[in-house]
Amino acid sequence: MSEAAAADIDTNNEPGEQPDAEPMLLQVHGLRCGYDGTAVVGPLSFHLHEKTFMLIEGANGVGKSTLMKTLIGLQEPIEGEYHWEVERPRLRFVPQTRTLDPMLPATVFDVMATGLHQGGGLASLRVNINDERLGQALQTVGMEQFRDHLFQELSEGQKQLVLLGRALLGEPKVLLLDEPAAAMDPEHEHRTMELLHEIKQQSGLTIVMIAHGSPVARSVSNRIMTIDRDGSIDIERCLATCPPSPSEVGR
Amino acid sequence: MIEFVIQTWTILVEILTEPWSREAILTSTVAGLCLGLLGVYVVSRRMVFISAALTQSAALGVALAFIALGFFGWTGVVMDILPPVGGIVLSFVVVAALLYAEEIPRLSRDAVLGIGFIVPMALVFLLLPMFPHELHEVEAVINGVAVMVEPVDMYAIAAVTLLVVAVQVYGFRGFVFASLDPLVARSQGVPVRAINGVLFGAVALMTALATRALGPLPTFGLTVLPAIGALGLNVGLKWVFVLSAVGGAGCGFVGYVLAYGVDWSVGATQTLVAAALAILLRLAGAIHRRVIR
Repeated sequence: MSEAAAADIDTNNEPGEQPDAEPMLLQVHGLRCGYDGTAVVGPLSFHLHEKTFMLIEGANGVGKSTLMKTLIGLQEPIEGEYHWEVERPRLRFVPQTRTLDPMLPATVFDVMATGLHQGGGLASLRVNINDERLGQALQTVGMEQFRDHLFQELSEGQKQLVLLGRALLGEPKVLLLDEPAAAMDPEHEHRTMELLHEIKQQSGLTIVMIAHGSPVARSVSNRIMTIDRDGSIDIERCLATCPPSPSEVGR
Repeated sequence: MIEFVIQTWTILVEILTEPWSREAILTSTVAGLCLGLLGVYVVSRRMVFISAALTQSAALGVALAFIALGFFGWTGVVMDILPPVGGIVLSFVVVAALLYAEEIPRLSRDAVLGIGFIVPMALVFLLLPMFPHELHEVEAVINGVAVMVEPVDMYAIAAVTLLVVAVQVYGFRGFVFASLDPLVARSQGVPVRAINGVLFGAVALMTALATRALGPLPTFGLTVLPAIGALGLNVGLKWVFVLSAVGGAGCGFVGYVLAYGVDWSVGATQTLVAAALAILLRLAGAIHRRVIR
């Protein structure tokens, strides 16, 4: 995606946007995350305000996904703590498309229906499928015409939009996305970022997203967390939107 | 054609009139339904050799039970109950190991299934010559025949099938979610570990019971083949499960009638009928995909 194309996304509707003025949403203190007692990233201390669009960047293997899985509760922290000022069901995770098992011939409808599950225990096994809600979520991401298509036959960009639509079914306050643009062509990446920006503006969502130095992703963010090889972090604050990083200038 | 229909009808009436063959065909049909339903999970989770591993571990359980009966001199009801219970308990040991493997990234399902197949087999070979009187009983478990079925096995299979179908009807979408996208399912509070436990437990129980009643070949075939066929169709997940279950039941029934009519091995015929169904469904799926493109 060129910088010119990145600039096409209209982010001027939030002049002087100040997420710091919004209520606190997440507090992280001395958090170390990893596997089998070995820390991959941390110790980290940071906080997040509502309506922030935070990008997490860093080289492969620095622990971006590990941090996200810890924050969503999929794995226990090795050390330290974090606290969300929002109920668990209002956090929604959007994984990479390859995490869905390709052996099960799920249609887009089947995948979307999984977005209606929440809570725990026996109640979480059953869902009342609300066709109207499901259709609206698909419409939001522009995928309503693919309702009966096999999920695995969609393009990567289309799959990611369906997963985004599924996450929206949970009426989230926070969306955590793991490299949504990893397998997308520039056109789909642009469309997805534009959509995320629109959803954030309309619903007041907070978005935390992993991305690999994408100019278009930077252009819609107002915080950029960069994780270094040594496990430390640097948070760049952007008053309106973050410009492309110096390394991307002239690409 | 009319002659064929009349002949088939005569065979069918004969099978359903005789209590021993009626019980056997009903057991094959009901077991086929349950195995076909569970088979979708087994195939999609890439653990088709679970049947083989469970059969061997069940055989070891039965062998250990007979050894215990001989050693302690137990008779009566214990003698009837202990061997199947031994088989089921050892099957659940394999299931527990599979659940453990789910949590340990360095230990694959294949490794667990391999161990679950090889080690019990070696132990059975080692233990049985020491107790030659029990050899026949254990062989009956490993190489059970579908032509005749004990009523107790029929009722046990019917009860487990009823339970499995009821659980699937209640929590179908939850079970599918745990298989399709376990990471997000966990993030949304779905008890993926408990679901896996229930699922693997049902597979172990049904495999142990069906192996004892029908033998390992049709148990393996009815678990895997209808599901392989149904998974090739573009009909939505609900219909994949329905078709696989109905296909399994149909193959159990048709295979029995065919074997009875032409005097073939029942288990082998049921397996080949299931293979034919799998090929037909796969072809139908491929043609359908080509047409819609």
